[in-house]
Amino acid sequence: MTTPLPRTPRPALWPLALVALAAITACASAPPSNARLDDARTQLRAARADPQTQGLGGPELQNANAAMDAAETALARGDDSASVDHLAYLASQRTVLLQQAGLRRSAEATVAQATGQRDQLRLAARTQEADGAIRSAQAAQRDAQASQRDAQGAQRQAEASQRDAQAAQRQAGAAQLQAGDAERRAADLARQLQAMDARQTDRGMVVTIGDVLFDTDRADIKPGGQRSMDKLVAFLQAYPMRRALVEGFTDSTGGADHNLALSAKRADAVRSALVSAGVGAERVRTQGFGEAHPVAGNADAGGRQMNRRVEIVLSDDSGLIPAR
Amino acid sequence: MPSTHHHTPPRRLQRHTLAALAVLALGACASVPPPTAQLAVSTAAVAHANAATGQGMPQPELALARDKLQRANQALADKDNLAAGRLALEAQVDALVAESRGETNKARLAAQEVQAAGQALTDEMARKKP
Repeated sequence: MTTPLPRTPRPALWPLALVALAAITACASAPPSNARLDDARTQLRAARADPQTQGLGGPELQNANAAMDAAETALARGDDSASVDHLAYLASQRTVLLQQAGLRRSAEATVAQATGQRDQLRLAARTQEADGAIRSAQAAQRDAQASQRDAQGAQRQAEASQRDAQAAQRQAGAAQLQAGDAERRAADLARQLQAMDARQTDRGMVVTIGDVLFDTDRADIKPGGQRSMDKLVAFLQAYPMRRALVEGFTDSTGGADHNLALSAKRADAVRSALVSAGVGAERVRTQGFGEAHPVAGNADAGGRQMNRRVEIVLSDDSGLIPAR
Repeated sequence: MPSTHHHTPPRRLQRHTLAALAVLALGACASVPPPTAQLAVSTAAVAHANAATGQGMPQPELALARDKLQRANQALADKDNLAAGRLALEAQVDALVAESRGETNKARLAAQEVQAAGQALTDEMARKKP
């Protein structure tokens, strides 16, 4: 290409030479480097990227950047390596100060956090204690209330017991009154029975009325026997639960059949007298026994008089009279 | 006349030489003055770091700072103001680093202590729970 044109090659070489020269010059004027500064730069870059140094408020970052700028400027200016080394050392130490500030702040944050946690824990501990105290107080209050309730219950029981005792006393009093009543009635009964010459037998109280009631062979009550009849009526009216069995007896004078009929008639006469005096007819029964069941011998007049009689058997309050 | 003619050139040379020397000396003086202020700052920084780290762990940077401060004073005495200034500056940052490391250590110890105390309290509370 170039050989056919002999005049052109030389002028074409000049630009190439210029380019080569420029390239060489460029290489020669490439930024000068310093090993210590390189290290310091790397160190500062890492420190600035470290989260621990982020947002530090102090002058450490500014100082480190300024020291690094001074070293870079000296290097760019072409200062001798001793000078750049010195400035790189200063930058490196300022970077250490920055790192230390970051570490310190981190430790201080830990202290603050741990202190806060400790305060919270203490607070929680105190709260725990206070809660415990409150629970104890509440339990004590509940105990006190329970005691009060117990006391009130005991008082109520005591009052109830007192009421019971008073009621019992009243009942006792009433019973005493009743007992007194019964006692008085028993005494009355005894007095009345005594007045009628009653005697106690297996069948009950028996009142015997002698021959004062009837004339010989007669069945109507003599006026003189009326007193005995009045006593009997009074007794039966005073004790309306009691019944009477009127039994008639004769002596052995005369025929047995006649005597049996006569004794029945006499018992009926007594019954009629009682009923007409107001004693209920259903309370009085009669039976004639004639010569049977003598209480004395019929040989003499005295014995015969004792056998001529009417016996009135008085029941107790049950109204029952066992048969002879 | 010739004598005077001979005299003049050496006198002129002497004057020029003196002037040049004076300029050189002035220039040297102007470029690196004695770093007395920096030395005072560095001395104070080393003393402060010495007091601050005296109770705690010995810091290697503090020994370095002392050594450099001494060398800076020596360089000053040797009229090497450039070296004196550099050594004084380095002594200052070394002292600052020494003090800073001491403070960081203290903060770290405090953090460990308070964490241990918190753990102890937590354990105590866990134990106290019924």
